[in-house]
Amino acid sequence: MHPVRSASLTAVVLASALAGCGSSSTEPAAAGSTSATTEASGTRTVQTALGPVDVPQDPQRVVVVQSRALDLTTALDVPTVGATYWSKAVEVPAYLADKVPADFALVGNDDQPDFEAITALKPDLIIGDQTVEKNLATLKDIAPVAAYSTENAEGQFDWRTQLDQVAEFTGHQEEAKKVEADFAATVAELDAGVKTPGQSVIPLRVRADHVRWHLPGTFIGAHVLDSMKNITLPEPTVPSENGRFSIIPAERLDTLSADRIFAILDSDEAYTTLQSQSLWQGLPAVKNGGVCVTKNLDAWILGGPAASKVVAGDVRACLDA
Amino acid sequence: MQFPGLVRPVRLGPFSHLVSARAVTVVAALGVAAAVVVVASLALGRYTVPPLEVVQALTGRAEGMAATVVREWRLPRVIAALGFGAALGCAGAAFQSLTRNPLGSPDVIGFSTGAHTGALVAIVFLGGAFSTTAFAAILGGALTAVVVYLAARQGSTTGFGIILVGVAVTAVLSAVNSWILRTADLKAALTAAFWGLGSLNGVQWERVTPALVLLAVPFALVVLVWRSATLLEMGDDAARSMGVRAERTRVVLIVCGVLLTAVVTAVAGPIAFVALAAPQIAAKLTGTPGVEPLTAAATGAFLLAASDLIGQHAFGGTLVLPVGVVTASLGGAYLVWLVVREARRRPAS
Amino acid sequence: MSTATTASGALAGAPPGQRRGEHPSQPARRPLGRRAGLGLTAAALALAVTASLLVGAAPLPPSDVWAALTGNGSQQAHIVVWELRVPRTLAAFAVGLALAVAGGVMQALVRNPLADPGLLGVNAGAAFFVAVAVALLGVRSVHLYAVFAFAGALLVTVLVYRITTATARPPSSAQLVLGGVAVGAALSGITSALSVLNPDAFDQMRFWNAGSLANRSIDALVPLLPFLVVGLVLALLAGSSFNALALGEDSARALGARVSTTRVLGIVAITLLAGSATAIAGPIAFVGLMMPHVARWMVGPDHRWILAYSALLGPILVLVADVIGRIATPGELPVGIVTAFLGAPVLLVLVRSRRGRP
Repeated sequence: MHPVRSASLTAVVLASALAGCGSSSTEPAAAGSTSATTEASGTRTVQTALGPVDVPQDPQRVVVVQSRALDLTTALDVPTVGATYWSKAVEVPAYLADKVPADFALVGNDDQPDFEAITALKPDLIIGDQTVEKNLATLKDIAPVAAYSTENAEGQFDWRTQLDQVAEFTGHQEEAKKVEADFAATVAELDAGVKTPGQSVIPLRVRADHVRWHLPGTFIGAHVLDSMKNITLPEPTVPSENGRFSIIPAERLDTLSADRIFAILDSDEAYTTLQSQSLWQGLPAVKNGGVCVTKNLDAWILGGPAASKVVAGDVRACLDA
Repeated sequence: MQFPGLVRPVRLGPFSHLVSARAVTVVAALGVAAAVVVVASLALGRYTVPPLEVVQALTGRAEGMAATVVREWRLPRVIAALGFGAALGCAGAAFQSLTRNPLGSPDVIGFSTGAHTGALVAIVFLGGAFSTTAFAAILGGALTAVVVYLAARQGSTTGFGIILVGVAVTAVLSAVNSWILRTADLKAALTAAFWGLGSLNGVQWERVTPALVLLAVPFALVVLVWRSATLLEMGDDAARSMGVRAERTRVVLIVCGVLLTAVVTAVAGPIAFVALAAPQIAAKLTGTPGVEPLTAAATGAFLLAASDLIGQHAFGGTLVLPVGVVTASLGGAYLVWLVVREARRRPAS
Repeated sequence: MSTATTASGALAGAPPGQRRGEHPSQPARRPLGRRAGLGLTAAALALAVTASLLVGAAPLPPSDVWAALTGNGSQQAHIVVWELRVPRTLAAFAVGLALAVAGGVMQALVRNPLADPGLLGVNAGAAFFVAVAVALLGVRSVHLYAVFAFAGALLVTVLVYRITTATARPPSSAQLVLGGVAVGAALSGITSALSVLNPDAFDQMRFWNAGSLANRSIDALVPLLPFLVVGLVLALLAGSSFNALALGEDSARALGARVSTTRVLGIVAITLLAGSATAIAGPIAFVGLMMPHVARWMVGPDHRWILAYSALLGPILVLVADVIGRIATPGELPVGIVTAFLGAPVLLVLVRSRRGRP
């Protein structure tokens, strides 16, 4: 047994040695608690998800290393010169394409940012979420790194709390207030348009091989649906395995019994396949024309101020129909 | 496969090795090729540094961002590629000798899959900080290796038993991995998938230096026990009659092979195919019938460094490929070519 | 022959210890004859089929299922049973049979009990084509995934065969496997890159990769049936030649076996069977590797019997795994994950029992 014991011992020693040299980063601070203090040097200290960071008073060249943050910085009119990508391989989501400056560049993906490309952009502030920790050592050599916490007080992904933090990092709090007021007005307008208040709505992602019933309060739909007061979002009839959505087995399609279903399509073929199922055809929403179809997948799943406008457009078209 | 070549004894420490002149030539050629790769890796990048400044940065006479990019980013990255490639090649040689099978690699005892399971748990459930992921990966890989080794000892003491148990355990763990990947939040799943490809993006001295120090000991041990290992390939009884302590040699090979893989995996993730391909490519280049750790290490070093260079620069635009993708594609393509060439050379009978 | 680490050395034949296990003389181990055993296995298969019709996400009592099967049930029960459970059971049956027989042929062909149909590049080819379809062509349809998977499996196997037949002489089994592994590795690198660099494609691939029988309609199954039947017939035709081949290629030739014909027949059979199975369900682990082992353990080294038993054992494993997957988690555990969990302990037991053999 000696060889085995020594092997595992060595592994533990080795692991702790490596753990020791990787964890030189800062301790995580409470999410969303940002406090600013002005200094004479043109920088100020903000509280980030990875501890206090000195950031420029008025950043002029921001790079985001979390693709979802591009919607936040552009909505706040923060000059954003680079971002990592998420959608459809090496692309900015369509609804953000006209919001980035001419010299904007894509700099790798969220997990593996291209450090030299970021350096070449000469940023004065780098913004990411708390997962930027694994690349922090390198990014800090380029510019100050401000990390926001993705989750709100309920532990859910919420672009509104993220927006507040990014506004603190960049000193664009006024813009944040305006964005949030716009969002509240849009939601109020949508609420006013609901003809039968209290109707139930299911956000349903229609994928090639299964459908997902998204839970209320999660990232789906940029928080437009769960901010509306005149609709109800029922809990899925099948328990969720990940706290975000439930995969509905084909045999349980008959439990999607809401007044309206938002079918967020991956493709037309996926929807055709779903429509051919007898249990789907028997649903009340399907029989009564209560299914609204949208192909704005990026906006519905990525979230953010601009995304919420796209989603609101879909919701408006659906409620008017 | 007759490549007689010139064979002469070379004295290395207390052990005698037979090294052919062709092997020396091959290692020298790989060294030259690796040097070219190192120069290119230091000079190329999306952040443009003029050649003169590269030299100044290396000699410590440059300041500012150019110095950081060359000294703190490009240099540790290419050094890591060479060192990790050598370690993986050596680990592959150890396992191929141990299992007497050219498909042998630390993967057969489930190390990479177990490490991936550990990393998945760390990334999906524990937040995925670098140190947590590295620790969980080593723990997962080492536990898997120990379980496979113990289960194989229960069943059969041959290398074949290890492979069979390894296949079983690997299958279960890859099922666990696909299940976690499938259930997890897409972003976490994607991070875990990237980790699973193996990448040298963002490695710095603070991770490379301790890793290289830790790799040196098992590397040296494998080279030292290699004579016993080759005797062991003839069978336990034959080896014992020549004074080899079979079980001890086997344990040294397994533990060192796992350690070499573990350190690399902790820093860079499970880089595919180098451990499998490097010993085979080296054997075909040197024309020897069996695998050998030093030529395998030289081949592995060149393979990984060249792959990383290709992944970073070959595709232009904003597309950068993780090195593990390139090693798999390139190593696979090269192995295809070797198979074709060998088929052509075989005399028709 | 001192070192077995060259490609031709170790892969062409199993290591010495294994070769003994390959041809055990063990008449006393079987209290029942092979035919009686076949009957028992068929009975177990019938049970598995019944379970697959009775169990599912929709809470239907057995009486309702029976009523639906005989045409008397409620409309909902009728839909669930006839549109969902019957096609799914047929798909599980076809996939299990195809993979297990393909595995039996593969192991006989390369005389290596570790061989799995995936070694010829079937899974790698299917995954590569599906990844190209998903990431580059924007395909999002289960039917088209099946088309691409089948085409990929076929083309890549042909490619592997072409690569290794670069000379006039047919390639050795070892070269075939090495070629398959090499092509598989090269493709899997590109497959990973395609899926990981495009998050939405990755999201599709992570579900396809797990291997699933959910939402498989009868329309997806029927076009593949001819290929399955042809593959099965070819496999059984080649079965008797495999016994001669097991003695080594030269001995087989001396006995009058047509080695190269047998090999080509075998490869075509593997490709059709495993390709269809992967097209239906995605990559399913362990059935092709595992079930021929169990069959060999039950009936000894005669390849005709191994193939016959594999054809019954494969569907049992896949059906049982699928039934367990339906109730294991609310969103259903994919069948490919459950087969690995069921198969691995069996393989471990087989490894242990091998030790006591002569």
